[in-house]
Amino acid sequence: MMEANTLREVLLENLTAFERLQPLLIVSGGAVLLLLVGTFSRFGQRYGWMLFGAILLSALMTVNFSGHTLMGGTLQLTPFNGLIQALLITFGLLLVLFREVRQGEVEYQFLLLSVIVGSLLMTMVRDLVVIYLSVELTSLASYALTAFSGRKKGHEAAMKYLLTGAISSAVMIYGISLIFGASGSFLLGEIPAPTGPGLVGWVLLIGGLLFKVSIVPFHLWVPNTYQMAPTSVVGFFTVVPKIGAFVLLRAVLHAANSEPLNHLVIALALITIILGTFSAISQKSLKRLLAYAALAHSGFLLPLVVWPGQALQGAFFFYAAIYALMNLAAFYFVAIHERKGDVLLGDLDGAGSANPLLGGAVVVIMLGLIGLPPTAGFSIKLLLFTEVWGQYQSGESALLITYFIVGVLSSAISLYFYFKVPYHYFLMTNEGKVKRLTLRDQLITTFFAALLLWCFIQPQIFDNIVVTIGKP
Amino acid sequence: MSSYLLSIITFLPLLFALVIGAIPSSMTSSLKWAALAGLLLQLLFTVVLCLQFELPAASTPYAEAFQFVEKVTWFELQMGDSRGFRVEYFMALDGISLPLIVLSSLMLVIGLISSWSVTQKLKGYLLLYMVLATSIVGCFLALDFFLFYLFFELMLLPMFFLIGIWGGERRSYAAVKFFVYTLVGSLLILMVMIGLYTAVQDDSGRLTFDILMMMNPDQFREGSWLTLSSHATLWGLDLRLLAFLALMIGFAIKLPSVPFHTWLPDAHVEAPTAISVVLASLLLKVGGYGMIRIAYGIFPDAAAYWAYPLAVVGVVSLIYGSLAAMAQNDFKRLVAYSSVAHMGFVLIGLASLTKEGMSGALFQMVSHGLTSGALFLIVGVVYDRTGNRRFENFSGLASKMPMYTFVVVIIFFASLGLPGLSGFVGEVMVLMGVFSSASSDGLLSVGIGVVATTGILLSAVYFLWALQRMFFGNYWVREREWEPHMKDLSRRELLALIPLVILVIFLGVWPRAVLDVADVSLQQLQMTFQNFR
Repeated sequence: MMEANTLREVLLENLTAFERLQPLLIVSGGAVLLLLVGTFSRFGQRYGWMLFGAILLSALMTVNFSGHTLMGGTLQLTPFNGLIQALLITFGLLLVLFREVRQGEVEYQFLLLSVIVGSLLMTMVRDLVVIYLSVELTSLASYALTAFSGRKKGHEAAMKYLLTGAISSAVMIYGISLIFGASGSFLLGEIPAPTGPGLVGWVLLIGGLLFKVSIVPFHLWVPNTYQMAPTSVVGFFTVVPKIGAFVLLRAVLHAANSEPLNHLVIALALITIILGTFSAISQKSLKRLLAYAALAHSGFLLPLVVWPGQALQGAFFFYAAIYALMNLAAFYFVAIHERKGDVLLGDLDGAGSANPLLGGAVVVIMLGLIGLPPTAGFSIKLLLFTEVWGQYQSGESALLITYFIVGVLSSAISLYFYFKVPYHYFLMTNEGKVKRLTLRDQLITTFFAALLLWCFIQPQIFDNIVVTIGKP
Repeated sequence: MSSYLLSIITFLPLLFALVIGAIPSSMTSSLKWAALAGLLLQLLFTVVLCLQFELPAASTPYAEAFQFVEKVTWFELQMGDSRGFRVEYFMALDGISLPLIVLSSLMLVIGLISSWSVTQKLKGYLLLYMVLATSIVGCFLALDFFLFYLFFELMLLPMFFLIGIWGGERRSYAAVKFFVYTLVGSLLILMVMIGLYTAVQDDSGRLTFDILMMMNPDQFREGSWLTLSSHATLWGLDLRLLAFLALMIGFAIKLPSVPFHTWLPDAHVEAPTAISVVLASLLLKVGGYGMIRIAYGIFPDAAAYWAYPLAVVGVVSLIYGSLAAMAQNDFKRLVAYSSVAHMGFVLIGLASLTKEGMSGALFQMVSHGLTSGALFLIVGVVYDRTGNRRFENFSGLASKMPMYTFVVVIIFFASLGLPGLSGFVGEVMVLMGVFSSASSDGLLSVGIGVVATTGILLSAVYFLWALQRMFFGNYWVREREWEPHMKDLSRRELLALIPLVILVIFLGVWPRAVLDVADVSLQQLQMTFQNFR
């Protein structure tokens, strides 16, 4: 990075930076445009989703996979960040499959785009103030999205989300001020690794981020929010802001580079897995079940961002991509059932005999979420636990082996609740009202399920992506 | 020697599953014939396999006794520069797996014949049955741990639905219990698989899932924790001992052995007849096979360390299973508990770490595969006719159903170990193994052998008692409306039972058919224990 002295040089540098930040600019600019178009023309209101798609598509085309440091070190582009951004944008794009998104108001699409902007920012920011900004941007839009179902309960969930979110951002900003006070810098790269009492600021900052990735004890907003928000939004929440926040967490943890902090985070991940898994058992509502299960999944993703080194980037990307695919499929499945009025697990009784294709697909999706072969859900769990075992082997730690054993065995419990869906689908019978779902919906879900199988059989594609993009 | 015979045998049912998928569900008889054609073709190829199988020379090393080897890289996942994965499609067959493959292809056909009467959701049933067939056979052939694990897990899913949809009254409870129990077992296996993967490398220094390399102490990476010399500990126990234990528990759940057997009676009682047959004669064998091939093969040191406790667990299974069988009023439950008892012999035979014991264990697996399959068919005969299978509701069936009684007598006597029938051979060899192990270096004590012998006695008690209660005495059934149904075996039932009766007699008279095939491999396997006894 060159040292900028004159105003002209500063401007020039920022202009080149803008060129590299095209996806971010396109999505944020597009969001504003979408809002304007939708406000002033009925046509725009109706076909806003096409613009929504076009914005994300063009953002996807401009994702930058090279490594750069921009804006005086505020933003850091790496091939890995580029990959994650492409993943997030792709996921956003696939949201148009949900009817809610297509038929929703432009404000709805605008808020989705805002969360995407915040999440994209989270993947590359290296400056404490902008970190706060990106987290807040994501959060504020998320609060509004939660209330978008229009139901009273939705407002209640949004309010809870807002309150817990406000507390956690207060905690975070307090942490940031402590770190800045101790080091005199906002840039992650310039702050020396903390020792002793200096850790307090980092713990608070990380606490704020753990809120975004829904790790215990910052998870309290999750069940209500997920249950009450529109289904497409829930699927979106479990992927886009979460993965963005994970990447940010990764940068922060690596900057802190502190063994006790890493252990603390892994311990929290362990507790999250246990709590999420056990809470999911007793759920009767399909969405709430998946909400707790998503909680447990956060606990699985977390270790991959803890350990330093380039090596885990590929693994994290693989995990994140498959995780996103599974959640998209699962929530799409929920959405199509919700439209038929099926909210509780019991409502699915006997649906398998009327919709065998969808039934087969949902078995595959649930297998993936549990982490069983022959789905890519197994591949990512295997990758994760091999890494955990490897770390354990290189530095004997009781925590890691506990994580390893508990994490692996928790699959048996998650089988119990995830398989309630196929259980109600096929093992229960329902005299009389058997609901047929449209072929289109069935085919889309089946396509996702087939993709999960295919990624298990041919995972090299991810390898190829990582290798190609890793070498510019 | 390179051929695709093993892949053909494994994936033929899956291929026919696609065919079945394409046939509309209203054409029930075409569906059944397509399934039967697929499985008969599989059986045919298995016969070809037997004909082409060459008995290895006496001193062939374990790893070189494998034939029909297929080995290609399936996928490599580097993920940047993390340690990544390399999985091979590695299938091969040796004398240990050959008898089990033959057993599988045969029992799958017989199972299908006995499911001929299924009418409800036939297409789904057959599809799942074919997937099950592929996964069972794949398990016996895979030599890459990842591949083995894949087939091992794949077995659970069709089984879950087959019990859960087509089962009896408490089917959903039984299906979930079966799935959760066996999944816990396979997760334990998964942990060891991960540990082994990070420890074992091939000749070019890359990590590998190859089971044969895992068996070779020289292939372990310097400083990894599962090497023989590492002595890394967890909770005060050597990690290798723990890993072996995890594998054994994983497979013991499948076997099943006390105290992990409680899923079995429920699953058996609720499953439809054909599925009980497949469950008892094949799925349980995967547990025993996994012990021989993986647990004992990779951790001979730990096998020697845990020999005595394992033998005790085996004896407890045997005695407990027999006593529980004695207390049952339900015919099917009795057969289920007798499975637990008979699998106890497998555990005892393996624990003896002698060649007699291990051959006996393998033989017991094959023999039990035939007899337990036949026993469940026998239960199915009464159940199909009356919808009931409690002993107190029947008496003197011999006078009304002479053929049926004839088959029952032969199979009962084979199960309880009458000389000249197949059950005798396995049990006696296991006992020989125990006594020779006790007399040579005292690895096991004579007491184990003595108690195991009483186990045989107990099995005679419950089988003979069942025979006496149900088949002898004056003819009587509880319900008047059952009367017209109490006819002797139908042609289809005979078709399923007669091959089993013939084989049970054949193996009893000429056990070398199995023993000679497995001889060299078991001999070599047994030698690895010598250093650790």
